[in-house]
Amino acid sequence: MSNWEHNITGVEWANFSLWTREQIFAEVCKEHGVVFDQEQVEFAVMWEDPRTPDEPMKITVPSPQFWAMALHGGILPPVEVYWALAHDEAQPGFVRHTRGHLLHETPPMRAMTPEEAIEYIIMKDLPPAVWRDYKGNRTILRIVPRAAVPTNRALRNAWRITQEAPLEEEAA
Amino acid sequence: MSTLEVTNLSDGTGTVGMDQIIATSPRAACGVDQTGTQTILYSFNISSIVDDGVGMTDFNFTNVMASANYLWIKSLDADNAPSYIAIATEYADLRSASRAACQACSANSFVTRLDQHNVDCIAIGDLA
Repeated sequence: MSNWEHNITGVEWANFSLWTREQIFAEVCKEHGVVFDQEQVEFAVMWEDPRTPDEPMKITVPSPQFWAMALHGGILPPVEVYWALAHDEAQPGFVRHTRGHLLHETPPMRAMTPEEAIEYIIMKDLPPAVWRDYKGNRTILRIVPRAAVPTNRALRNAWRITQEAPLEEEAA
Repeated sequence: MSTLEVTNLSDGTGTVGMDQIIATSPRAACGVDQTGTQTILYSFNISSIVDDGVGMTDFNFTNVMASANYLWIKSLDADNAPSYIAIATEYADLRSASRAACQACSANSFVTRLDQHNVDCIAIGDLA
Protein backbone atom coordinates (compact mmCIF):
# COMPACT_ATOMS: atom_id res chain seq x y z
CA MET A 1 0.00 0.00 0.00
CA SER A 2 2.21 2.81 -1.21
CA ASN A 3 -0.50 4.98 -2.65
CA TRP A 4 -4.02 5.90 -1.65
CA GLU A 5 -6.33 6.35 -4.61
CA HIS A 6 -9.58 7.08 -2.85
CA ASN A 7 -11.01 10.40 -1.82
CA ILE A 8 -13.83 10.74 0.69
CA THR A 9 -15.85 13.86 0.09
CA GLY A 10 -18.69 15.45 1.96
CA VAL A 11 -17.21 15.00 5.42
CA GLU A 12 -16.08 18.03 7.39
CA TRP A 13 -13.36 16.13 9.25
CA ALA A 14 -12.36 19.07 11.38
CA ASN A 15 -15.82 19.05 12.98
CA PHE A 16 -15.17 15.68 14.60
CA SER A 17 -12.79 14.46 17.24
CA LEU A 18 -9.77 12.55 15.98
CA TRP A 19 -11.12 9.25 17.24
CA THR A 20 -14.46 9.85 15.51
CA ARG A 21 -12.67 10.78 12.31
CA GLU A 22 -11.03 7.37 12.26
CA GLN A 23 -14.40 5.74 12.93
CA ILE A 24 -15.96 7.58 10.00
CA PHE A 25 -12.99 6.85 7.76
CA ALA A 26 -13.08 3.13 8.58
CA GLU A 27 -16.83 2.96 8.14
CA VAL A 28 -16.84 4.70 4.76
CA CYS A 29 -13.98 2.54 3.54
CA LYS A 30 -15.78 -0.59 4.70
CA GLU A 31 -18.97 0.48 2.90
CA HIS A 32 -16.98 0.80 -0.30
CA GLY A 33 -15.14 -2.46 0.03
CA VAL A 34 -11.79 -0.97 1.02
CA VAL A 35 -10.26 -3.21 3.66
CA PHE A 36 -6.99 -2.71 5.45
CA ASP A 37 -6.20 -6.15 6.76
CA GLN A 38 -5.02 -7.67 3.52
CA GLU A 39 -2.33 -5.26 2.45
CA GLN A 40 0.51 -4.05 4.61
CA VAL A 41 2.35 -0.77 4.20
CA GLU A 42 5.33 -1.24 1.92
CA PHE A 43 7.75 0.54 4.22
CA ALA A 44 9.24 -0.27 7.57
CA VAL A 45 11.56 1.69 9.83
CA MET A 46 14.53 -0.07 11.36
CA TRP A 47 16.03 1.71 14.34
CA GLU A 48 18.23 1.30 17.35
CA ASP A 49 17.76 3.22 20.56
CA PRO A 50 21.07 4.83 21.60
CA ARG A 51 19.82 4.91 25.19
CA THR A 52 19.66 1.11 25.26
CA PRO A 53 22.57 -0.03 23.08
CA ASP A 54 22.37 -3.65 24.21
CA GLU A 55 18.86 -4.14 22.92
CA PRO A 56 18.26 -5.53 19.45
CA MET A 57 17.21 -3.40 16.52
CA LYS A 58 13.56 -2.41 16.55
CA ILE A 59 11.24 -2.32 13.56
CA THR A 60 8.35 0.10 13.33
CA VAL A 61 5.55 -0.96 11.02
CA PRO A 62 2.81 1.59 10.20
CA SER A 63 -0.80 0.59 10.61
CA PRO A 64 -2.42 0.29 7.16
CA GLN A 65 -5.46 2.25 8.35
CA PHE A 66 -3.35 5.03 9.81
CA TRP A 67 -1.28 5.08 6.63
CA ALA A 68 -4.40 5.45 4.51
CA MET A 69 -5.61 8.33 6.68
CA ALA A 70 -2.25 10.06 6.30
CA LEU A 71 -2.35 9.76 2.53
CA HIS A 72 -5.99 10.79 2.39
CA GLY A 73 -5.41 14.01 4.28
CA GLY A 74 -7.67 16.15 6.41
CA ILE A 75 -7.79 13.68 9.30
CA LEU A 76 -4.56 13.59 11.28
CA PRO A 77 -3.34 16.51 13.37
CA PRO A 78 0.08 18.06 12.77
CA VAL A 79 2.85 16.05 14.40
CA GLU A 80 3.63 19.03 16.64
CA VAL A 81 0.44 18.20 18.53
CA TYR A 82 1.89 14.82 19.49
CA TRP A 83 5.11 16.51 20.54
CA ALA A 84 3.15 18.83 22.83
CA LEU A 85 1.36 15.89 24.44
CA ALA A 86 4.61 13.94 24.76
CA HIS A 87 6.14 16.97 26.45
CA ASP A 88 3.28 17.01 28.94
CA GLU A 89 3.66 13.29 29.59
CA ALA A 90 7.35 13.69 30.28
CA GLN A 91 6.77 16.18 33.08
CA PRO A 92 7.32 14.93 36.63
CA GLY A 93 4.05 14.17 38.32
CA PHE A 94 2.12 13.85 35.07
CA VAL A 95 -1.20 12.21 35.76
CA ARG A 96 -3.63 13.13 33.03
CA HIS A 97 -3.62 15.01 29.75
CA THR A 98 -5.19 18.44 29.93
CA ARG A 99 -4.43 19.48 26.36
CA GLY A 100 -6.08 16.59 24.55
CA HIS A 101 -8.21 19.12 22.72
CA LEU A 102 -5.18 19.84 20.55
CA LEU A 103 -5.72 16.50 18.85
CA HIS A 104 -9.24 17.42 17.88
CA GLU A 105 -9.18 21.17 17.38
CA THR A 106 -5.91 21.76 15.55
CA PRO A 107 -6.56 22.03 11.80
CA PRO A 108 -5.75 18.62 10.30
CA MET A 109 -2.86 17.92 7.97
CA ARG A 110 -3.27 17.97 4.22
CA ALA A 111 -2.78 14.76 2.25
CA MET A 112 0.76 13.45 2.66
CA THR A 113 2.99 11.71 0.18
CA PRO A 114 4.31 8.29 1.24
CA GLU A 115 7.65 9.93 2.06
CA GLU A 116 5.97 12.54 4.23
CA ALA A 117 3.81 9.90 5.89
CA ILE A 118 6.77 7.77 6.90
CA GLU A 119 8.54 10.86 8.24
CA TYR A 120 5.39 11.75 10.18
CA ILE A 121 5.33 8.31 11.77
CA ILE A 122 9.02 8.51 12.63
CA MET A 123 8.54 11.89 14.30
CA LYS A 124 5.39 10.75 16.07
CA ASP A 125 6.26 7.25 17.24
CA LEU A 126 10.05 7.08 17.54
CA PRO A 127 11.92 8.67 20.43
CA PRO A 128 13.56 12.02 19.54
CA ALA A 129 16.78 10.47 20.84
CA VAL A 130 16.77 8.40 17.67
CA TRP A 131 15.67 10.77 14.91
CA ARG A 132 16.61 14.20 16.26
CA ASP A 133 19.19 14.18 19.02
CA TYR A 134 21.61 11.43 18.05
CA LYS A 135 25.05 12.82 17.13
CA GLY A 136 27.05 9.61 16.81
CA ASN A 137 28.50 8.09 13.68
CA ARG A 138 26.60 4.85 13.84
CA THR A 139 23.61 4.48 11.53
CA ILE A 140 20.70 3.92 13.88
CA LEU A 141 17.75 4.68 11.61
CA ARG A 142 16.83 3.32 8.21
CA ILE A 143 13.65 3.40 6.18
CA VAL A 144 13.49 0.19 4.19
CA PRO A 145 11.05 -1.65 1.97
CA ARG A 146 9.07 -4.06 4.08
CA ALA A 147 10.29 -6.85 1.83
CA ALA A 148 13.87 -6.10 2.94
CA VAL A 149 13.16 -7.09 6.53
CA PRO A 150 14.38 -10.65 7.12
CA THR A 151 11.58 -13.12 7.74
CA ASN A 152 13.75 -15.74 9.40
CA ARG A 153 13.63 -14.68 13.04
CA ALA A 154 15.86 -17.40 14.46
CA LEU A 155 18.40 -14.83 15.63
CA ARG A 156 15.97 -11.91 15.92
CA ASN A 157 17.27 -10.76 19.29
CA ALA A 158 20.75 -10.30 17.80
CA TRP A 159 19.69 -8.13 14.86
CA ARG A 160 21.53 -4.87 14.34
CA ILE A 161 21.42 -2.32 11.55
CA THR A 162 24.19 -3.02 9.11
CA GLN A 163 26.77 -0.26 9.01
CA GLU A 164 27.81 -1.00 5.47
CA ALA A 165 26.58 1.50 2.92
CA PRO A 166 24.05 0.19 0.40
CA LEU A 167 25.52 -0.59 -3.01
CA GLU A 168 23.99 2.45 -4.71
CA GLU A 169 25.59 4.75 -2.12
CA GLU A 170 28.96 3.11 -2.62
CA ALA A 171 28.66 3.55 -6.36
CA ALA A 172 27.89 7.24 -5.90
CA MET B 1 -23.25 10.02 9.67
CA SER B 2 -26.34 10.35 11.82
CA THR B 3 -26.33 10.54 15.59
CA LEU B 4 -28.73 8.77 17.90
CA GLU B 5 -28.96 10.51 21.24
CA VAL B 6 -30.14 8.34 24.10
CA THR B 7 -29.48 8.24 27.81
CA ASN B 8 -30.12 4.57 28.52
CA LEU B 9 -30.43 1.32 26.63
CA SER B 10 -32.89 -1.31 27.80
CA ASP B 11 -33.84 -4.79 26.64
CA GLY B 12 -37.03 -4.72 28.68
CA THR B 13 -35.54 -6.29 31.77
CA GLY B 14 -32.27 -4.50 32.36
CA THR B 15 -31.16 -0.94 31.70
CA VAL B 16 -27.67 0.29 30.97
CA GLY B 17 -26.69 3.93 30.93
CA MET B 18 -24.90 5.27 27.88
CA ASP B 19 -22.18 6.70 30.08
CA GLN B 20 -21.40 3.18 31.24
CA ILE B 21 -21.40 1.86 27.67
CA ILE B 22 -19.12 4.64 26.52
CA ALA B 23 -16.78 4.18 29.46
CA THR B 24 -16.38 0.47 28.83
CA SER B 25 -16.16 0.40 25.04
CA PRO B 26 -12.74 -0.27 23.49
CA ARG B 27 -10.77 2.80 22.47
CA ALA B 28 -8.02 1.00 20.60
CA ALA B 29 -7.62 -2.50 19.24
CA CYS B 30 -4.99 -4.33 17.29
CA GLY B 31 -4.18 -7.85 16.20
CA VAL B 32 -0.64 -8.79 15.27
CA ASP B 33 1.05 -11.76 13.66
CA GLN B 34 4.53 -11.73 15.19
CA THR B 35 5.99 -14.40 12.95
CA GLY B 36 8.05 -13.25 10.00
CA THR B 37 7.92 -9.49 9.57
CA GLN B 38 5.37 -8.48 12.18
CA THR B 39 2.02 -7.95 10.49
CA ILE B 40 -0.97 -5.93 11.63
CA LEU B 41 -4.03 -8.14 11.16
CA TYR B 42 -6.50 -5.41 12.08
CA SER B 43 -6.28 -2.18 13.98
CA PHE B 44 -8.20 0.77 15.25
CA ASN B 45 -6.66 3.86 16.82
CA ILE B 46 -3.21 2.37 16.30
CA SER B 47 -0.68 4.40 14.31
CA SER B 48 2.09 1.82 14.27
CA ILE B 49 3.53 -1.19 16.01
CA VAL B 50 7.12 -1.79 16.99
CA ASP B 51 8.77 -5.17 16.71
CA ASP B 52 10.98 -5.09 19.81
CA GLY B 53 12.30 -8.61 19.47
CA VAL B 54 11.12 -12.18 19.67
CA GLY B 55 7.56 -12.24 20.98
CA MET B 56 7.55 -8.53 21.78
CA THR B 57 5.34 -5.86 20.26
CA ASP B 58 4.83 -2.23 21.19
CA PHE B 59 1.66 -0.38 20.12
CA ASN B 60 1.42 3.35 19.46
CA PHE B 61 -1.96 5.06 19.70
CA THR B 62 -3.33 7.53 17.16
CA ASN B 63 -5.61 9.26 19.64
CA VAL B 64 -3.64 9.02 22.85
CA MET B 65 -5.30 7.97 26.07
CA ALA B 66 -6.04 10.54 28.75
CA SER B 67 -3.62 8.93 31.18
CA ALA B 68 -1.63 5.75 31.69
CA ASN B 69 -4.48 4.38 33.78
CA TYR B 70 -6.52 2.38 31.32
CA LEU B 71 -7.43 -1.21 30.87
CA TRP B 72 -5.00 -2.95 28.49
CA ILE B 73 -6.27 -6.40 27.63
CA LYS B 74 -3.86 -8.78 25.98
CA SER B 75 -4.50 -12.23 24.62
CA LEU B 76 -2.93 -14.70 22.25
CA ASP B 77 -3.54 -18.00 20.60
CA ALA B 78 -0.61 -20.11 21.69
CA ASP B 79 0.79 -21.76 18.59
CA ASN B 80 2.69 -24.33 20.56
CA ALA B 81 0.23 -25.35 23.23
CA PRO B 82 0.20 -27.54 25.21
CA SER B 83 3.97 -28.10 25.17
CA TYR B 84 4.50 -24.38 25.35
CA ILE B 85 2.00 -22.59 27.53
CA ALA B 86 2.17 -18.98 26.54
CA ILE B 87 0.64 -15.92 28.09
CA ALA B 88 0.48 -12.32 27.05
CA THR B 89 1.93 -9.77 29.42
CA GLU B 90 3.40 -6.32 29.33
CA TYR B 91 7.13 -5.75 29.48
CA ALA B 92 9.54 -3.10 30.62
CA ASP B 93 7.81 0.14 31.60
CA LEU B 94 6.34 0.94 28.22
CA ARG B 95 2.81 1.68 29.40
CA SER B 96 1.98 5.32 28.92
CA ALA B 97 -0.88 7.40 27.60
CA SER B 98 0.51 7.20 24.09
CA ARG B 99 1.60 3.58 23.85
CA ALA B 100 1.44 0.14 25.41
CA ALA B 101 3.18 -3.16 24.90
CA CYS B 102 2.55 -6.86 24.85
CA GLN B 103 4.85 -9.85 24.91
CA ALA B 104 4.15 -13.51 24.33
CA CYS B 105 6.11 -15.47 26.86
CA SER B 106 6.25 -18.77 28.64
CA ALA B 107 3.94 -19.04 31.61
CA ASN B 108 6.69 -20.93 33.43
CA SER B 109 9.49 -18.44 33.27
CA PHE B 110 8.19 -15.12 31.90
CA VAL B 111 11.56 -14.97 30.19
CA THR B 112 11.30 -17.38 27.29
CA ARG B 113 9.53 -15.59 24.47
CA LEU B 114 8.20 -16.97 21.24
CA ASP B 115 6.58 -15.24 18.28
CA GLN B 116 2.88 -15.99 17.99
CA HIS B 117 0.53 -15.85 15.03
CA ASN B 118 -2.28 -14.09 16.83
CA VAL B 119 -1.64 -11.52 19.53
CA ASP B 120 -4.62 -9.29 20.26
CA CYS B 121 -4.80 -6.20 22.44
CA ILE B 122 -7.57 -3.83 23.42
CA ALA B 123 -7.42 -0.55 25.34
CA ILE B 124 -10.39 0.60 27.39
CA GLY B 125 -10.38 3.92 29.14
CA ASP B 126 -10.64 7.65 28.63
CA LEU B 127 -9.22 9.28 25.52
CA ALA B 128 -7.27 12.50 25.65
